[in-house]
Amino acid sequence: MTDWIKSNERRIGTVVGDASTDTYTFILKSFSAKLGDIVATPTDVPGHAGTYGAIIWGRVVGINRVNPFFPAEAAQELSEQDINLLDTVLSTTRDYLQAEVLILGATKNMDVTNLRLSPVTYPVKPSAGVFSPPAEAIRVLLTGGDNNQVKLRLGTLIGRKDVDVSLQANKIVSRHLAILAMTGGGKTVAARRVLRELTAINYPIVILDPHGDYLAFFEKRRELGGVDVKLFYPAIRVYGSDSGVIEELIAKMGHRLTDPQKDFFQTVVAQTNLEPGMTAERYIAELITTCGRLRDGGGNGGDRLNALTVNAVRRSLDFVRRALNSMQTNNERLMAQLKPKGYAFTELPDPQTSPDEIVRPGRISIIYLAGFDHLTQSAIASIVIEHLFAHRAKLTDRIAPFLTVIEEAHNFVPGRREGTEDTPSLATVRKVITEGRKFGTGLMLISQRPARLDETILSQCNSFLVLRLVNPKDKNFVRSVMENLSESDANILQTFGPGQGIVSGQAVRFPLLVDIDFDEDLVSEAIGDEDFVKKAKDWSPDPVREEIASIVDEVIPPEPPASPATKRAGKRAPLPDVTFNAGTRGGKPNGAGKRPRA
Amino acid sequence: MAFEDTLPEEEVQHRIETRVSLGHFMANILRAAGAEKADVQQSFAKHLCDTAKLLDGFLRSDGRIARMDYLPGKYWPAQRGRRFAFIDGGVANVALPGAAPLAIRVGAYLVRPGREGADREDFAVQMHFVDDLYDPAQDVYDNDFEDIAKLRDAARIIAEAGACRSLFEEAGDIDALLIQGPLINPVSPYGTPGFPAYTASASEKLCRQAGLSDRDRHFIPLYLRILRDLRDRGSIVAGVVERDGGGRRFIKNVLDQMVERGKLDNARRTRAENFLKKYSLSDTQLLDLILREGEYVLPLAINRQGGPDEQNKWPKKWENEIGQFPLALTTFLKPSENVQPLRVETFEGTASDDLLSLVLHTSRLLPRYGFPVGLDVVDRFAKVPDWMGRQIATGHKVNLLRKAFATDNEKVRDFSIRMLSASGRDWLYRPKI
Repeated sequence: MTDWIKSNERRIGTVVGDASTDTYTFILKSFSAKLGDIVATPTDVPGHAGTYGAIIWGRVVGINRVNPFFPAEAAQELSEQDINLLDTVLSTTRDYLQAEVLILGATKNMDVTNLRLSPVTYPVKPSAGVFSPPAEAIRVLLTGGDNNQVKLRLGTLIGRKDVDVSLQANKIVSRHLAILAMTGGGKTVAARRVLRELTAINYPIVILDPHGDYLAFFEKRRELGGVDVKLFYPAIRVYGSDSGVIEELIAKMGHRLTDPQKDFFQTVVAQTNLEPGMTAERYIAELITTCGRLRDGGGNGGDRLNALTVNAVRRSLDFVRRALNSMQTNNERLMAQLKPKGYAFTELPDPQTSPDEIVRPGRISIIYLAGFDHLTQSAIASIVIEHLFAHRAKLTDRIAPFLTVIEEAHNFVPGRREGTEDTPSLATVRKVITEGRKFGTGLMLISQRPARLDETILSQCNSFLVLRLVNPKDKNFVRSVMENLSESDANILQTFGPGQGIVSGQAVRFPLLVDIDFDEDLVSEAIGDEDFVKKAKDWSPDPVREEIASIVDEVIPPEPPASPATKRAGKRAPLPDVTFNAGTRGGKPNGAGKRPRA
Repeated sequence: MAFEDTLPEEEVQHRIETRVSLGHFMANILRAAGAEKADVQQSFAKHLCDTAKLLDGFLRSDGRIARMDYLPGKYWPAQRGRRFAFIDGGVANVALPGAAPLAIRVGAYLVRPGREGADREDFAVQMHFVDDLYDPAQDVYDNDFEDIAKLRDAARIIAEAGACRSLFEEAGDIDALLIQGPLINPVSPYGTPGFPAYTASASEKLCRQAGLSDRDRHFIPLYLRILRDLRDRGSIVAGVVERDGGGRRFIKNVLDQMVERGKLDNARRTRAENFLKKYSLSDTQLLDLILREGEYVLPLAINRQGGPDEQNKWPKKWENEIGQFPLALTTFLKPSENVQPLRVETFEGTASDDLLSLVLHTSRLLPRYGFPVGLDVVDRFAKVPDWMGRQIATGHKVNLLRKAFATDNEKVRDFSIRMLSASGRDWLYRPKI
């Protein structure tokens, strides 16, 4: 089983230079290994009873290609003189490859059926051979030989289609996963892959979907093995426990209130009857009614109220009510567009009273938040997560453990620099991510702008799947949060293609470069990227509206435009007659603004 | 002066100032300053300018300075399918107590411009010698000699020449071969009494001829045999000298010719020569002031073994052989404005335009270094790195100690430790009072 470690066919290089217990470098045979490949080096390690043979496992984290026989100044001359290199006497063949290896650990046992990694306590020997392990050895290494744990297949190692990469399911559902990538990096592909694997084990999933990226799960529920996919639209309902969130939402969505207005608003809240489960819109209408009652002296201290204060609060509440109404209308309009395509939405069940309708084994609950602004989405998320978490935290077993997927996480858990620390969902998610693993309420945070995420929350994620990132701020932030992301790993983030990334943390035994499987069968046929160019080309004015406009113009012809002189005359008020008293200076009456003489 | 098309005095002065600022003449000035007055630098510049003008005037009026155009766009495509070889030797710098290691390897780089694929380039160690010059059973020399440095030098020179010869035999279709350093070296220093001959095996390796007599295996006749073989092939073989060795043989030849043609009287010739000697001015330094970019002096056949006035210094035993050494057709070519001219040596009868064009175009591929890039490549290939020398030294020390401890002789062991743990200037070796 260990013949490969001595096989010339598998030998890809020789260790050179200074080796430590963390890294070593080796001269790589041409075209024998790539960045990210797993390599192995045999070495003797001191033990209690003399030395023993071990295999040092590592990952190639950098490759430099050097040709000392091709001077830089020659390249400059070739460019300037426009000469073909091959026509000259310059040498092109004597380059060599120097690969840097990050050591992952050592295995004492050469038996590949049981490879358990332990820390490396003795460096590899310069001049030692470096070998490319067979797929089976890497597979066993990745799993540690433990095949009893539930695995979520993610894809394969980059460049090694023969080695599968899987995540440990239990570490994902309880200890949180962050999927980070720039737009087009493959976030949806990655999330879809993990969620598909979770549905295969009937794990309950709740998805907060601000853009409808996950609606395809409903369309493709058959391909998912008949999983129960529910599409919910949010109805913002108010309960005693989360009235604070609603009040905060009102305060933030409405006009800026002065201190007396805030005091009055609190009075209004205190004097309004809250029926648990009433919609936020109705609750606001009740608040407006209370305002009127208090203004008319129907409440405590009403006599002393300033009419301006009352009206300001009323206007603000009315603004919020209309805004909420408008957002709900948008949400409904978006859902209506999807209805003909077979998408069936139902109102989100009350998470306090009917949590089991949202969280259930074998069910994916997608809460469709499109049409709402970030603040409202955040408030909805806060209410839903808070209640579902409470059910788990009370240990009543009312609902099963579940995983919440937060797409566009930077809008729900923004960092301090974003100036939105009081985003409603921030405190809720912070609580869940800290305590969630005790109660089986895992989170999957997905973001395209990691630098805008809350650092504390992100660092609580025990596993990371980082795909293509180019923005230096994002890369630095990810590096500062991920403990085991090396500098060379951070440098390759920008080189990943779509669906390629690095997975690290507790879900895998060591960081791995992964090519994520693309679930083509789950791609929606009904919803796709809209072709706006075609839409603009095909657009034409509404004929009915045009017809009406022409009729109106015919019946009531538009007034001819006013001449400029008329316009001026109409705008300017006639100047009043002004008479100046003798002694008046600077337009002030004589003596005005002066102190009388003593 | 009545010479036409000569360098203006201002240009020569400007060149001198530029080179002084680069430190080119500092050693010359400092050497003379000790014996001169305070205005030594000023007079140095003036004399130097006058001498440069004198030479420039003569060389240009006599049509002895020519120009090679740098046309890479035309030159390189025209070389497609030809084959060029470059040779250089590397010597390991190994210091060992109780041993005189000799480790020489001669690298060869062959390239076919315009070709693509595996047969475009070839790198090979064409010749190598590894030996201990203290060892009684030597592989290279058949006896020892007190001047180890001379043995090493001679071995390097003859190994490089032997490698050129064997390369022609093995590779065959070589259009031009450039070697780093002089093509023909002075041999008198190696003709001193007691200088050992090469062993039969080393001689055979060098000239591919077995059964040479003891006399024929000596450095001088053996080197002569190899050079003749090379010359008689009729191929382009040239030595390109990068470092200014301080010689004035070329300028002396030019001065001689000036006297012969009546352009210079003997008295002034002597004064000019004395000036060059006083300031230790070399061929390269003077011609650097005269030649413009791409210019070269028409080649002169120079006897590298010395002129008639030096023949009395030849070792009597080898006078006949030394007198038969080929002359080196020598020129100086200035590849670009900011590099010193290169000395190029070849055999008489070689098509110099083809050769100089190759030297110019390969040198311009390294615009700042100004040295044929093929020789730079083979230099990197053949060079014996320091770490290799250190490894050899360490291995040797370990071996010595093992052998010492394998004996029962305590004195041998103590002496070995003392010898390996201390350097030559250690207090252990100071004279005792």
